[in-house]
Amino acid sequence: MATGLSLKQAHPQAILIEGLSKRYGSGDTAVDALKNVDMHVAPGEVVGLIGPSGSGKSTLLKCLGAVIEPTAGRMSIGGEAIFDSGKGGWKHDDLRALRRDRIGFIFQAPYLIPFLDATDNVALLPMLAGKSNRQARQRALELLQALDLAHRASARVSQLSGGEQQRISIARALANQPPVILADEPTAPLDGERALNVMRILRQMAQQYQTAIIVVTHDEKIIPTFRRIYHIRDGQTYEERGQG
Amino acid sequence: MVSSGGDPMIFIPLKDAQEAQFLKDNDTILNERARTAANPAFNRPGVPGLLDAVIAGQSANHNVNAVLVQVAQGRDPEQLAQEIRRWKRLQAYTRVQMEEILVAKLIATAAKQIGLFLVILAVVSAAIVSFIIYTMTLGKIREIAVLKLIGARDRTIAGMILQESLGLGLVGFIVGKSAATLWAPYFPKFVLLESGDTLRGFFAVMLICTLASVVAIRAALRVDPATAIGG
Repeated sequence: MATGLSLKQAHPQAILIEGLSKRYGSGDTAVDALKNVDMHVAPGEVVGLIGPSGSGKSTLLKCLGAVIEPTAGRMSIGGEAIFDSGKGGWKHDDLRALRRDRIGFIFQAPYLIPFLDATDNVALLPMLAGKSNRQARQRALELLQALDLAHRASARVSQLSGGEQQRISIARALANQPPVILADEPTAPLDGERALNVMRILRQMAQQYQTAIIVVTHDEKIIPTFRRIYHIRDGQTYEERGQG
Repeated sequence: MVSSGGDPMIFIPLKDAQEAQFLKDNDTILNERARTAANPAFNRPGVPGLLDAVIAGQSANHNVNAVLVQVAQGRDPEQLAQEIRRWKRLQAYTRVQMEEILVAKLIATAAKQIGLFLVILAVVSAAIVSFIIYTMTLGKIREIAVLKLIGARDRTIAGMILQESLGLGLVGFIVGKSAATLWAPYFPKFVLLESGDTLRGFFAVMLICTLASVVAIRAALRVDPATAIGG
């Protein structure tokens, strides 16, 4: 472990989790959802997080997404410590701003705002971060172009196909150039070809923007595309080399 | 003009008004004459002219509803009214008192009735808009959780719900105002609405919609962003 950590310190990780634990409840009814989890993801890397229902995947994602507070451990994003249980917990007072600026999210469903067009859905995040309307829209158009969606820039959500909506949600996750993207089963509603296409796009975006992406999935079709996979069972993780 | 009850109203001289109220139609006059002539008490062979006198008495009208008096310059209307009231069978009202009767009693009563309807309608509208916005918000709980998760501020989310509510109110106001303007002539009575009333109505609708969105905004702000992650 010591050698591993020193290696990680020498090459800053986009995501670094050490000894992370999360306990729900207390006393006899306490449940340990995460037990001493270690994880690291390099910039530009896409890793899979796989495990059965109730194994702790969502809890890990929620901790990493700064939505719930871990019971113990340390977490860093983009080389910056965001949580250290030994030093007072969260390092940021405004977790909402931390999520907005440092973490991108992709979900099973796109969850776009229906009354906004594709550009405004992507531009929403930079605008929330305080960028001007012109800057935010410029960034949105740049991302839409990168995702081959420039021709759909002014289309309403209802006019977009399911695949296009998912790509818009990927663009939204990248809008504030976060060092980390957490993808919660992004390919679940898609068929084989489209699921592989989404994974290809995620890999391309990770390389292009040097963003680390953790993909939580049950999807057998995309598991072979990962080079590294974290398996999680009963709150404990172990790493496996993938075929991708 | 329109009366306090919403009926059309015109002002005419007292003589014309009495004629309109008491003048009998030709058939009634002919019937009455025939009945009187058939009565042996009025049509006595030995008393010529009695029947004509009775019929003339029946045709004349001595009813008086009111007399409009214009006071000579320099006389106090209230003092004159006091003098007239000394005859117990007469009642006198000054212009100020007549205006008070018309405005404070007839029009004010009608205005209170309309006001009561307005309050009831406002409460019912607020409840309906509130229910619609609340239901629409509950249908978007996951989207709201996602917005919170990706960093949207509470005021951004509240603003979106408020916009939705105000939009609903605006559509309702335009439809209602258009319908009232287009359909009013087909109703027997109408309420006179001036531009100022329309403007006040618009702001009242916006206020109602703002208040109606409060419950939905409270529900949205209680959403935990953690619900966006996982099943």
